[in-house]
Amino acid sequence: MIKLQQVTYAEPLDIHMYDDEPIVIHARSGRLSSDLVLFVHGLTGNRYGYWGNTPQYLLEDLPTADIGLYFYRTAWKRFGIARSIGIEDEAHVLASALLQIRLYRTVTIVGHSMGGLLAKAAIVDLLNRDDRKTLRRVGGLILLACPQLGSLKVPRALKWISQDGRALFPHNETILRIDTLFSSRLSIDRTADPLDR
Amino acid sequence: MDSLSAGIGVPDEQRLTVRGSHSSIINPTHKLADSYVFLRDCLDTSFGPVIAGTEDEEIDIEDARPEDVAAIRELAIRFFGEGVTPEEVLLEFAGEGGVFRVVKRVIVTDDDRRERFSGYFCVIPLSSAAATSILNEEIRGNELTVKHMPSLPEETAALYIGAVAARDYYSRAVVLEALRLHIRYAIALGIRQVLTRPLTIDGLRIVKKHLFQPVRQEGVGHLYRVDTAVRHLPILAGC
Repeated sequence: MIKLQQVTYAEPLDIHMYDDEPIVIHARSGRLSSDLVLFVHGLTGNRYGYWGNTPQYLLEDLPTADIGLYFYRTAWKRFGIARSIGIEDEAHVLASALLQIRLYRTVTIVGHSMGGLLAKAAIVDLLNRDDRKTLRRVGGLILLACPQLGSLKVPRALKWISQDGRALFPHNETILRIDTLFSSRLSIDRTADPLDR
Repeated sequence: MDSLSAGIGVPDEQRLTVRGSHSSIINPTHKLADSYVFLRDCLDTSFGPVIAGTEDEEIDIEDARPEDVAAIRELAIRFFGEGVTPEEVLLEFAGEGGVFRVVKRVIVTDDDRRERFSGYFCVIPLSSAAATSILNEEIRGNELTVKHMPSLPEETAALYIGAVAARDYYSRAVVLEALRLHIRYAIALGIRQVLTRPLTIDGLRIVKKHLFQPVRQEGVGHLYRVDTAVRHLPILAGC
């Protein structure tokens, strides 16, 4: 994990510079933040260039939060036996990374597309480890266009040639297991109302 | 299931559907983009209310400036729908001063000042003719313009509460208290009638709590009035 202290949000010139680090944190210099927003990208995503202006906007707008960007290899970046792992194994890596984040009061995970599935799987991984200390620090999970039970938009053939295709296939065994464990062991805080309706 | 099964298990009040592509929702082009505003509101909810979070943070209540109008209208549309007052009319009201009051969280450090719009209220002073037109339901609140205001403050026949909206619970409490003070001040200056038309269930609850009476029919979308000469109004509590 790397923490970059910056006056304003800036991405490195070489966007693959930190690819061996699971999490890069962008913090505003001169400020000690109590919260972390952790972004988890989706299929074929990258740490940088994927989220548009969102990290920059949030670092400007949120007075108490730093921005963390998680990176993992998906799709063709996984070609090669050594790099190809299933979503639950990847979730174990993310869960272990969450465990390393100790300097923040809360960590809110924002997962886009398959990144949302991965985030849910990481929380299930923490539940399975009974790591309550880390779980208590997870303040929220925000899912953006996340195929919670799989996606009909992913070509079926991908199921046979890619771990990610298997993970995204509708109602596949893995996401059903993750979703069942997630919803049976956690309940949604229905008083939380971001739209204040 | 929908093609992405994205909404499964998520309560309505914690879900937002926005127009765009799978990737455009994570690439906002400006800070008022629906997906970005929703994400930020979710994060605010996740972090909990910011109650004067740092020593450098203040809550400001001030007259809206022209540059606040876009944020006001965006929040109004989210609460009340597309039929809200047009932007050019809101700009005219903002130019009048005292009609729109906005709540902002302001963070000032040695080398930086950041403002965040958190909510607003709109109270329009009405001329005698305009008040009559509103009471007769000849015009609705979203049709009011600066032409319906009296030429002199002392000629105000009634106040019309056009809108109250805030991004989060804490800001809402600040906005409501500021509105209460605003109306108490107007009453002290001799205003005897306050009108409003609640457009949400929450608005109706607040209207009833402050003993507004229906002019004709009860319920959301109907006109309510309070006679400020009546004693023991909750809005006057503490006077």
